[in-house]
Amino acid sequence: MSDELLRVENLCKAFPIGGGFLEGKRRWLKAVDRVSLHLERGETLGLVGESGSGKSTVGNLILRLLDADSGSVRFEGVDVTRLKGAELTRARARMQVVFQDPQSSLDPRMTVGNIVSLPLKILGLATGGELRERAAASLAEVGLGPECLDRYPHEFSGGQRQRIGLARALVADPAFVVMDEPTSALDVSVQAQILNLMGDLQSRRGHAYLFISHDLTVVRHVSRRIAVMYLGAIVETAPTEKLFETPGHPYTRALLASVPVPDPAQRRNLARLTGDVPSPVDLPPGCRFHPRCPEAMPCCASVEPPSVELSPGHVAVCHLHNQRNTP
Amino acid sequence: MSAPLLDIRDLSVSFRTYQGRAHVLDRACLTVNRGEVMGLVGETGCGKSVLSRAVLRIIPSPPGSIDGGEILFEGRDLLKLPRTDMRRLRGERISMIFQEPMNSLNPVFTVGNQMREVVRAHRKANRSEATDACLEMLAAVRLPEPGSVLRAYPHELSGGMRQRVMIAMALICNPSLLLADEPTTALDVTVQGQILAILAELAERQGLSILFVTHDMGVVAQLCNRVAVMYAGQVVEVADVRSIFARPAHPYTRGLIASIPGRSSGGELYAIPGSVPNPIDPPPGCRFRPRCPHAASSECGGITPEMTMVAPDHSVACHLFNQDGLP
Repeated sequence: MSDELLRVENLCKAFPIGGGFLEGKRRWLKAVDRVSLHLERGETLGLVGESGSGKSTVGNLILRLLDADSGSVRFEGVDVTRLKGAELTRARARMQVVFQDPQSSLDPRMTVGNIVSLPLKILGLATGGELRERAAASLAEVGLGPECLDRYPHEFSGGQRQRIGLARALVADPAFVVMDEPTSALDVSVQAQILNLMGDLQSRRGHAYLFISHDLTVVRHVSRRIAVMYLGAIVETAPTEKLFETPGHPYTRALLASVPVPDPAQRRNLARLTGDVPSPVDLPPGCRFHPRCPEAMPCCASVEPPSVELSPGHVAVCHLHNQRNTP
Repeated sequence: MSAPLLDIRDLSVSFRTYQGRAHVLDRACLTVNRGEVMGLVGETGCGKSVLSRAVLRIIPSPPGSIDGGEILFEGRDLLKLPRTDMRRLRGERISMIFQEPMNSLNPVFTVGNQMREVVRAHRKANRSEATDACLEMLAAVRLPEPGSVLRAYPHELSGGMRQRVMIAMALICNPSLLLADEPTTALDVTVQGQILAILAELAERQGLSILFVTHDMGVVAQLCNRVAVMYAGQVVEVADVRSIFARPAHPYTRGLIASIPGRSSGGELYAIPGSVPNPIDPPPGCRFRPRCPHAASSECGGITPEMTMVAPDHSVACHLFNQDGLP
């Protein structure tokens, strides 16, 4: 495919727990376990999962904010996991990020103009007066006037700060932006403004988004395809409408059924799953979802489930489909 | 119809700040009937949490002060109650659960220790009687192995378990009113589903009334019987849950419902223009006027709209509706 922008294969990352003085034996928390995904130019891939599922770690690994233990991230044909120095800087100019908390992701002691133009300065794409000019242009694109350049982040509301974050991400004209829960700190009416803005900017500039969120309704609204993560692994990937109409993995089904639908005429039992997400330190053997799975079979506790393609582009990692396909 | 369990009339609360006095609640009115789940929705800073806290008189003073109004609970005005009576009422007749269960539990005492304290503060019970009451309540909120939960410290429990402990603790004296301030906002969606199911069941079985404060319209649609919508310190619309979603009357409520994403994928979301007014210097007349697409008459800018009935069990404070409740 010529349109492919990003291909992630078998990405793994584990964090050590303990092992220090008086901390007992060192154990490993598998935050990301053999994650593979791909993204085409100009498309939006939603990455959903509950807290601790490793979705933010995937974003950080792709951006090289964290180094992967194994696996590859091919971005515009280059494996960024191996890059160093100037080459890494060049690749990073093409990928940017917007974080969840607009309070802590903007330096309170820098003016908005300096914050927005900083990527250009670091990447050496502009100097002097051009920095300010391009910062103003970028701010204008997100709906903020040039009077904002000399103000500080605390003078802005949450929604405006998230616009500043977006202006900073887009100032260097990236091909790919990781949106790490960009609207979960915002109210629903402000969230709508930001989501609309994201869509406008994408149709104008043609960059791709990896949209990380725990909120299925938001992800459904913005994404063309969705990947569902559970305990560090992707359990299902599908085109958005397919995922909502015919979810293949029992976890996806439970997740969809747990979302409170904003329609009092459609009341239902939201308690579809019992128990909490188990700790990623001691992963259950076999399928990682089997202790909570309402459809678990004997083989689920011992054998890792295979990836099964249910229809073009719709993949579920579950024994249920394996049995149906090969009786 | 019998008198409501809780009847808040023209409640005004303000806080002293360095910039001036912030009028966080301005003549807010709200009723909760026996055995119903009343939703209280609004965006950040609209005063919904302050309203629920004012009922228990746990607003820190200074800087806060209750400037006027009445809070009638079971026929008595809580604002005129002596402190000792108020103290007896808290936890026994009215309880509260909060958003972050970790901050509401004492980290240095076991769950059992804290729960028994509640029981023994309100009724004569020896240690083993109190323990029995705790075990029974923990089982009622569907915690597996109540015995071991009782011996655990808060940090040993997951977020969902902690919130269940909080609910058990709040309901152990069988109060008639539970104030729930965003109790599921910090939880994952599958765990949120479990908590909502428990609250709905307890409300039904024990005839408990719940004032459920949230910003999530999905949760409201799934759980509540009636809904009150707050904007900038005022209750602007009250209706049964079906009417709020099917026939929202106030322009703010209409905007709020239209900005919920995920009814289908793609397309523009409705975004309410502008942002919430500053409580220190709110606009005169209707507080929503600067953002309202229908604001026209000079009335909107000069006279604060009064609550008018537009249908049975459906009131709205907006100049679009005249005194007879007609548009």
